[in-house]
Amino acid sequence: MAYAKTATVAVVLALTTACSSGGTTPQTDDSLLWAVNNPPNSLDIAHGFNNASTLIQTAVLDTMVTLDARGVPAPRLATQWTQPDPATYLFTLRKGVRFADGTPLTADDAAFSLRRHLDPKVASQAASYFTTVKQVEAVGDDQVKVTLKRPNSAFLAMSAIAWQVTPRKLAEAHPQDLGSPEVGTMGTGPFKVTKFSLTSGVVLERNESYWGRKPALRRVEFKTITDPETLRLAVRSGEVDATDGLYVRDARKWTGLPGVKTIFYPGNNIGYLSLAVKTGPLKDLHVRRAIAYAINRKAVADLMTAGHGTPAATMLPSPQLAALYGDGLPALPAYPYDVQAAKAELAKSAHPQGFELEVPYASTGDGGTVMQAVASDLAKIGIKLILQPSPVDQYRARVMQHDRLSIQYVNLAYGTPDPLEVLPDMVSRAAAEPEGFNFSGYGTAATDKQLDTLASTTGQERKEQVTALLTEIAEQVPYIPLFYTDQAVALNEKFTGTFTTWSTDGIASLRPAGR
Amino acid sequence: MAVIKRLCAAVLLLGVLSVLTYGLLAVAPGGPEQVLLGGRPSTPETRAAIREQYHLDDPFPVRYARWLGDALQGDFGTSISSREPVTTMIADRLPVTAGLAGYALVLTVVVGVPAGLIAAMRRGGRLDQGITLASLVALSIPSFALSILLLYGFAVALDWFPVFGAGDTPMDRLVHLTLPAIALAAAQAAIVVRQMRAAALDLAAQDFLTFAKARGLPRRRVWVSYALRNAALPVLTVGGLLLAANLTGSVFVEQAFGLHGLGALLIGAVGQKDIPVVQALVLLGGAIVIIVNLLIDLAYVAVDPRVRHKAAAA
Repeated sequence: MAYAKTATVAVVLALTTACSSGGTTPQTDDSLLWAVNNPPNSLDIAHGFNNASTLIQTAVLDTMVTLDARGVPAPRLATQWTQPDPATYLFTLRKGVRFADGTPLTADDAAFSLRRHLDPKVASQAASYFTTVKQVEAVGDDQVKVTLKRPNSAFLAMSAIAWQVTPRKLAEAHPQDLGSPEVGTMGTGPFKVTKFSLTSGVVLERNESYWGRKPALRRVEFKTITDPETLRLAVRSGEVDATDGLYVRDARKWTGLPGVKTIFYPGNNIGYLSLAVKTGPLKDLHVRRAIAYAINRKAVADLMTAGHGTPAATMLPSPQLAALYGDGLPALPAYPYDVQAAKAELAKSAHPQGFELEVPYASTGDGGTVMQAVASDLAKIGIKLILQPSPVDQYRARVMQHDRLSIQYVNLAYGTPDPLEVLPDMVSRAAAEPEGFNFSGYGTAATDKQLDTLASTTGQERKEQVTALLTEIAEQVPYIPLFYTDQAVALNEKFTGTFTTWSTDGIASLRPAGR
Repeated sequence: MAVIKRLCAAVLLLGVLSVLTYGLLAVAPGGPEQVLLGGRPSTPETRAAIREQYHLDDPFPVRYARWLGDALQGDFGTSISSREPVTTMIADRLPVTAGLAGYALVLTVVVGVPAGLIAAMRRGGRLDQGITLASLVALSIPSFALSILLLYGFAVALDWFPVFGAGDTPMDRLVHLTLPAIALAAAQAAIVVRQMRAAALDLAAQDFLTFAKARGLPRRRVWVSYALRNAALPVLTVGGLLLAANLTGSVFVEQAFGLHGLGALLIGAVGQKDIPVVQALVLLGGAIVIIVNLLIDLAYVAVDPRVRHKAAAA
């Protein structure tokens, strides 16, 4: 055995030496390898509205508008827009923009790119962003008119994420499989796709005819490494230059890597508990308040984010709060960690001695850890949670069917700075139906009406409306906010880049360090 | 006659396999809607369109019959999550998995057979004890743990091998697949060592070996021509089964080395209820096992004249 093994190793060594002297592509500093932990499945947001896919889409496709550093809509393909009336937008298209293949961008392309999300045949994952859009039409050569069913102050913010512009001809020919590896995509963005394979990855090359500031890198390649430890070793060894696939809970393993810098920024997400208010002991408001007092948010946040996150006190992601209120956060009813207060609330309820409750959770992912922490906190006031783990698919199917909901741990990430992306999912009656995201079942005709008015108000009035809804949620406790998680990017020190909550040009901002 | 019988059995087996797979996926909770909606809020119109397009409201036999009809015409459908033809997806990944499986099998045989034979020759000696102990250790380390150890040692600390990926050129691929193949082969080689050692020991007491030694034949000749050939049958069986297992079940190693092979594809597809992909992979797996078994039987005939003669006599 010893002999045979030595022989194998010797042969392989000879091969390695042969290869390293010219077989592999040399890494120059205008080419970067980025690893993702889930493969991008589609380069069309209609069928690939997820982190890995959207990251690449934003480097290749331009949206009509974009978001500035504060989350305010700003020009991109549209140089400006007007609102002839509250429910109508008139966008003026940038002149002289061409797709990566040289064909000129037309107002018709731009209009169709939004209209297709309304087509049930496309079954777009972004359809829920544009439910209020009634009509999209090209006006003349360089204008696009969007008519809404009713005023919607979140329309621009949602367009900044999902109104990606592709040639009408291509999108029309492929309603179902635009953006797939077979069809690919075509955009006006800073990069163009030169290869898209589910197995060997994605290669982007600089779009030399890009209308905006050209990216510093000539080539960015994306590869998928699903195993977190392998990903870390690949970054450590220098084979991979950058990744967004690190879990902040493991941040400590990354921040110490030599030659690698880790960038953290606030994520547009919130981890929370939803309490099903329609049945069982959770129907009792005092029980829900007792639970809110009993949970040590700070401890849960530390546990789940390892210092790269913050406890949440309000049911909106922190970047959305900042975009809406700036520094002037309103005072809302709060439930600081207080076991005595929790016991006092429980004593006022119909279950003063506590109760038992069956709580399902997904056995993979963060659910188990969070629910165990919650269960141990609640045990202190006499509420015994009977934890029921189930496989993630089974759990998700059950929750989406709103089947036997009780206390659910939910962690949702959002795209826009607008509270209207979040609140209707939380408290509208429509979202309390199966396939909706209102797992508490909380919502009345009055809240639906408030949500409607919220959509048509602006400025100070809008802030007050949001404050009123947040206050109601805090008083009625259908949800208990837990924590916000930072986003993270690890970069080899050879490179640098700008990653912030609202920027969608992270890939285009990558450049060799020192430039 | 035997061939036709065997072919019928194979087709029947694949049929049963496909009904079972389709049925189990159909009764499992959740559906392709979750994948198609991307876990995002959706509109009722979108959900209705998806149900109609994927015929989710049809009864199970109708859906299965539709799939079977297409499959019989060679159309295995399109993946729900990637919208890529299933045959393309498998064709993309088969070379990686096949390369890994083949490489691992070569390592297994090249290391396992001689080691087992040497252990048997030196029965009870230091070498035998060493080999037996090494195979026990190799058998006990889970492949994913061994993968990480190999990565730390040979890819990061020594920097001899790449950490992940499958490489593009054939040479590159050989280098990329070396560590994964070792991780996959370690436990298998241990099995072969033990199988080989046991088979060779059984033989050691046989009269023809004693006679061969008595004739003064060199030891190498005695062991290679007489013992190895006679011990080959059980080892062939094990080797064939290992190959089939490698082609369908090397998922841990694929995951650890960032290889996009069939194992990883199957796990992902089952999680996403991507029925066309799962169906095609299960059928492929079934076909591989059937073919490998057939090859083993043929190899028996080639290696052992007694099998040939028995078949002729019957």
